[in-house]
Amino acid sequence: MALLTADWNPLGREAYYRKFEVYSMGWIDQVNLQDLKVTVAPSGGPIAVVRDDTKLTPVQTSGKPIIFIFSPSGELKSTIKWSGGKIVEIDWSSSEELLCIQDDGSVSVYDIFGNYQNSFQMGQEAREMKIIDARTFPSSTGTGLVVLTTNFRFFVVNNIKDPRIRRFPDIPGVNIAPSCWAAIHGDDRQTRVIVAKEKDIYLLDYSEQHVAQKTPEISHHHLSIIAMAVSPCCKLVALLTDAGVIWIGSFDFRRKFCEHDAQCMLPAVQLVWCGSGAVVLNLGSVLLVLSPNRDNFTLILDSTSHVCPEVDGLRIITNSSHEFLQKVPLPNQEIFRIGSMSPGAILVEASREFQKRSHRAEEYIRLVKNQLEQAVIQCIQAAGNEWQPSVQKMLLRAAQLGKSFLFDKVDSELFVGMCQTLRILNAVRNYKIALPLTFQQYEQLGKTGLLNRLILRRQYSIAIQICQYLQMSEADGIPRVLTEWACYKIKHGLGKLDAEQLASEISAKLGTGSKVSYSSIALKAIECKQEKLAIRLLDFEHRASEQIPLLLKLGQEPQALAKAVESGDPNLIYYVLVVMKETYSADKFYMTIRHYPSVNALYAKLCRTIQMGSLEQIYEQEDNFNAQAILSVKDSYRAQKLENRSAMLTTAVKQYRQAKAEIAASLTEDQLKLLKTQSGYESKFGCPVIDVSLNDTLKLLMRRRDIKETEEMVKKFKVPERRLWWLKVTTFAEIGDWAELEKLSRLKKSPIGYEPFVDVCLQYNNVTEAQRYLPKVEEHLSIKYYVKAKLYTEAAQIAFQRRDTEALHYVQSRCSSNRDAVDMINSLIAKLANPSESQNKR
Amino acid sequence: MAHLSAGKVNFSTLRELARKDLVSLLEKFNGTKAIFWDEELTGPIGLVAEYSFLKELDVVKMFQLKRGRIPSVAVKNILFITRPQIELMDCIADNLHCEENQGHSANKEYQLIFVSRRCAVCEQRLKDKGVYGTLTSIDELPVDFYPLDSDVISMELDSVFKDLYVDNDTSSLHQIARGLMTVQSLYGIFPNIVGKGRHVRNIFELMTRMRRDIGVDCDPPMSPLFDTLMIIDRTVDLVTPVVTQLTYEGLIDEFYGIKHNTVKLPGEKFQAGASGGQSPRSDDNTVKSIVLNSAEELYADLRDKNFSAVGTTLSRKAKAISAQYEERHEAKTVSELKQFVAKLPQMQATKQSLALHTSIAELVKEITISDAFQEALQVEQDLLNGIDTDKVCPYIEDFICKQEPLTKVLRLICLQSASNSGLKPRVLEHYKREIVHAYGFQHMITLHNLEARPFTVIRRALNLTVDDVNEITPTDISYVHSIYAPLSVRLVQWAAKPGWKQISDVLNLIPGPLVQETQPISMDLRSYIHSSIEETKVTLVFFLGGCTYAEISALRFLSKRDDAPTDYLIATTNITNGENFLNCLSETLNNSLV
Repeated sequence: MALLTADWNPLGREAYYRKFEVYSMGWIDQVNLQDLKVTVAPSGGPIAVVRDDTKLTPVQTSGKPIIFIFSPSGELKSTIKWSGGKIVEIDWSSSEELLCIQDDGSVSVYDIFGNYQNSFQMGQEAREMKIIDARTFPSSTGTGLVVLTTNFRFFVVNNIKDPRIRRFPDIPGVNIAPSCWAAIHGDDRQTRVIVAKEKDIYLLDYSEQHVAQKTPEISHHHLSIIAMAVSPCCKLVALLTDAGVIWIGSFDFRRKFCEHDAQCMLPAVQLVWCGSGAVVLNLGSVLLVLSPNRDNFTLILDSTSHVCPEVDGLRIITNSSHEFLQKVPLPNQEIFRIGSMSPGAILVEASREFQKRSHRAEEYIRLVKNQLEQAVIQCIQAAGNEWQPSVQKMLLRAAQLGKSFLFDKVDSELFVGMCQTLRILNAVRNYKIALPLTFQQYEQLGKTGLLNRLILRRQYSIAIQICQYLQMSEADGIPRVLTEWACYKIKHGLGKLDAEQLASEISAKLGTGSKVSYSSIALKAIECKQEKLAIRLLDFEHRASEQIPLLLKLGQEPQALAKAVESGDPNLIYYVLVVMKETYSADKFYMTIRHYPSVNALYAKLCRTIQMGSLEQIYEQEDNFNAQAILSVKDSYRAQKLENRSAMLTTAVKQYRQAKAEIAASLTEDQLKLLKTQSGYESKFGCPVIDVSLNDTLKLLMRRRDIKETEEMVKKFKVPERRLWWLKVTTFAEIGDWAELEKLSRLKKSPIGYEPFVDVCLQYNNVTEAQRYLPKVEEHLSIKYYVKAKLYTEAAQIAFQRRDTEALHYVQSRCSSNRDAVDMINSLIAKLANPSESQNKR
Repeated sequence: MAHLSAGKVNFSTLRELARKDLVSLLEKFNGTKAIFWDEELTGPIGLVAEYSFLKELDVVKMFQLKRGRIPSVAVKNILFITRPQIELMDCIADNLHCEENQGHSANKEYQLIFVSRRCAVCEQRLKDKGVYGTLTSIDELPVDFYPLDSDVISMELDSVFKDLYVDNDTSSLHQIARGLMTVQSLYGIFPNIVGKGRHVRNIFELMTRMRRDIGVDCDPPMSPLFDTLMIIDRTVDLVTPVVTQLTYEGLIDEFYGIKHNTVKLPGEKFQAGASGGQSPRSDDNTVKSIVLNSAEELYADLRDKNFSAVGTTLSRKAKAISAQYEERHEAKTVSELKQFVAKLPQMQATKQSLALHTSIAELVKEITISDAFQEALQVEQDLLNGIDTDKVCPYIEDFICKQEPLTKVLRLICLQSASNSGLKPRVLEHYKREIVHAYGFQHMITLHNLEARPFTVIRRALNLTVDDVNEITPTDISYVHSIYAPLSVRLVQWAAKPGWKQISDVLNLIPGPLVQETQPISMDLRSYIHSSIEETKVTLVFFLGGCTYAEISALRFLSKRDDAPTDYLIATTNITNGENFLNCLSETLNNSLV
């Protein structure tokens, strides 16, 4: 174990700090940090360097500076040849975008490959007054930015993606530049600025436009405060005076924890926190580590360094290496501390003996039998905190051994999860990928965060492997990575490949599975002004609801319409129609929709229900005269005046003629004639006649006994004889004009037979009149009609004469309540059944 | 609702799904609710969720959606549950305007729920009317199929046929395909989809597309319960709906109309003594609502019988039940008595059910023995047999002159046209003139709509008219119309035996393309199919454009046969009969002259 604790530095009694190498830098012998301004992105992000104008350096190139972006392992990723104004500050956002802040307050955003993304301004005052300093800070909504202008005013945006500029209250007192300042964004989501002006400290709060003066108690003599740092937990503050004294106290400056004379040569390079447990003063190649209890130690580095605070430690970048300084996590301390008797330590010892196949393994296990669960958990957690795979393995092996004695008591998820996580962490820590995440940083970043980082680095292959390995869901797993890949391909394949090639290359990789969102890729293509490619890509998108809005955006209405029709979804078709109706001329609109019968029909329906357009126009367009005529007929019924109705029906006649619908035309003409006649009657008779049918009109005339008018109507409308007879028969019966009915029956042989005569008589319960016509009823119906008239005896007699037993039974079934008739029929049936007997009787 | 799960495939899961959707939708809204129903939905939704069930979900009041002021109720949420129709949107807009004017809208939330799908046109309408913002939320209740019985599910959409074949509006196909997808999600992917008719392929393609959009790997993880989905497009057989149904259930529907399993009958026949049967609830004295489904054992037995067999069945049952009552005299020991008493409630129920159906049968018989019915039936059967179909039929002419109900006349004309492979222009012209002159010019449009229907070619060769049908113990499906076998069901029958391949020349005579497709199913699900090969296959027959009770009866008859190669379950867009079928094609034009 001695090996592992060799680089541990005790800080006070309880805590140890360890420093280990993450990468040896690829930039060795090429970069000298002494001359450079360095900025490191948080959570194992890339490093940007630029020539430091404040330092005197031999001028190699004149003019504009060059920004170099290195990977955490010191590999050059990209360079930005700066062509803009004077750069005040460069810094990284929490999603690894490089912000270049110029003195006029404009901020340009670049990705890690030095590609320009976008830019924003810090407001008019910043532009006019120029800015002299700027700091980024992590905010609850992303990354925030505070700038200081030449008139010593602070401006803040809380989220650079949504730059809304707010001004801090002015610093009171004499108008001189602040000696140092810091921006903090606490758990209360408020951004504050702590500013030191010589000896005075002020806390600025923009939301309340409030300034509070703070007076920390510093006993050493000093003129001004030249550096300050706020701990990651936002509870502690460290100050550095011009006399080289470090003061550590509470955030409200009321409590002092310690004051320590660093006895250093100033100016110091950096004052930062390492976690929340220690302050680090970077003096170039020497680091002073100081705890709030004033415990301290010094670390000597091999060259000038730049340090970058992380949540759980400090990254130290030097000319040759990339190191990490952290407080030794508790489980690791428990296990590896010299002479430790913690359960974890003993379990590790047991495992070691077990590997050696020594029986002492059992003794160790017995020693921790009661705390085995704790021991296993300790080992698993410690493994996560180790950088060396060999140490991770050793700890996991120990955990595994302990687990085997616990059966199901320990959740194996914990063990499996840690193995998985370490596998991923080791993979991304590889210097080629260079994502030096600690376990704690990874926990904070999350799976999706890690994927985002990999996608940013264009490490699509390993991203997919991780998705597969973790079996991530469809929504944020492989399809997302593939989609991002395709977007990258579009952005960077431009110019090299034509749209067709690019589209087929992308589709070949992505397949036609339903999970890849071709529409979002197409959207990217639209952003890149690659309309042709977008259209081609949208062909692969089969979710019509995604595809159609984009096609419309691209002005591909006909294609959108075709796709909507394919989908069969009426909502989508409607959506396309609305857009087309707005953008197309009427002619073009009809020409486009006419190819689709279903769209035509839907449009017609929309015209009918919500008056989206005029139905006449469609039908005119299509020369559909029949439909036009029907429309005219329907419209005519909506008219409130007879003249209007007639006019519309006249149009209908014309349209029917054009449609060669002769019957309809002549029927409509009849109707026109009828309406005219009816309106005449209406004024003549003084009762409503209009709109009743021709037959009913005739009946009306007959009821009025208006023979002349009736005959005229019959002639006018060519009423067939049969119908006329029917009308007469029913009307005469209705008005009880039995004489007229009788006259009609004798006029000539009835074309409708005499059954209707009987029927109408019976309808009005006039059996006497019915009897007049019964003999004239056709032979095969006569029995039925006598029964209808309830003349059962007569019916039976006829049946008997016809020697029809079946008919007799029929008659009997209808008069079952009439005893006499039943008996009579029974005797008739008997007679028919046995004719000889009845004759004999006689 | 136990009877729903009695079938070969458990349709009560469909009901449960609908209830689940309803619950999760209503639970979204906190607090008390009042529901304003689109009148046409109360029936169908009633099949899946009764009022007591809704009460548990904090529904305190229910109203019918209509124009004007809405009754004031002290609830947190006002829910409008409607079909996506423009007129209904206007109704809601009107309601909301009134609410705003009266200042009610401040302390209430208004929610709109579409059954079964949101509709962009309707939402636009609400925007145009300026009430879109007043609605807190717009949701959809995706219930497409309602279980009517253990073997029948229906979408209860009456307008599908007219939309598709008169207006050429194919919007409803999307909803139909979606409904069938839901069926698939519950009962597994249909391995085979076959069918005949104009829109069958469209449905198959939409389903394929929807399945792809969801993702083939998201298929329901179950072995398919149905072997085949058979889609019969109504245009394949336009004759059957207009032929008079002669089964018990069919006749009740023809005369009194069964809507969502409920029939309303004249009340006087069912006075206190005769009442009983299944959950009868008297709306008032004149009308009695009766629920008809297979939960009632006697009705399950009677419904599919030709009406001429109903009388004998009823009297046989009556004898059986009185014999059962007689058993009480034979019960000597206490335990025997106990057994008898235990059977009493069931006997009581049977007795009530017998009384109910005797009354209904009497009502039906009154009409069937009437001259008017007999005469029309005779004409109908003559036409079916192809007697004098090329001439103007004097009976039809007389019916027109007598101004018999127009639908009755139109049914016969349609039938004549069908069995004559279309009417001669002269004949058609005569009928048209007669109808317009007798019933008025406003029927012009209806006549046009009828012409828009493609008249089918029907051939004697199809063996659809059968001479000596045994109505009592039938041997062929033709018993449902006494002499005529529904072409639609014949097609289904032939698909199983001898197979459509064998009769391709006959199929060519029927309009519309033939579709025979298989759907790919992953191997592990497929293996189940082979293991369950011992069991009888199950076919879901889907009628696109509606079916009649007689067709359902005919399919049940086929399922029950001993040598049945497959069981049939029925899905349909709606249940129809001649009258409804023609009514949906007719268009009312009202006089607005002042």
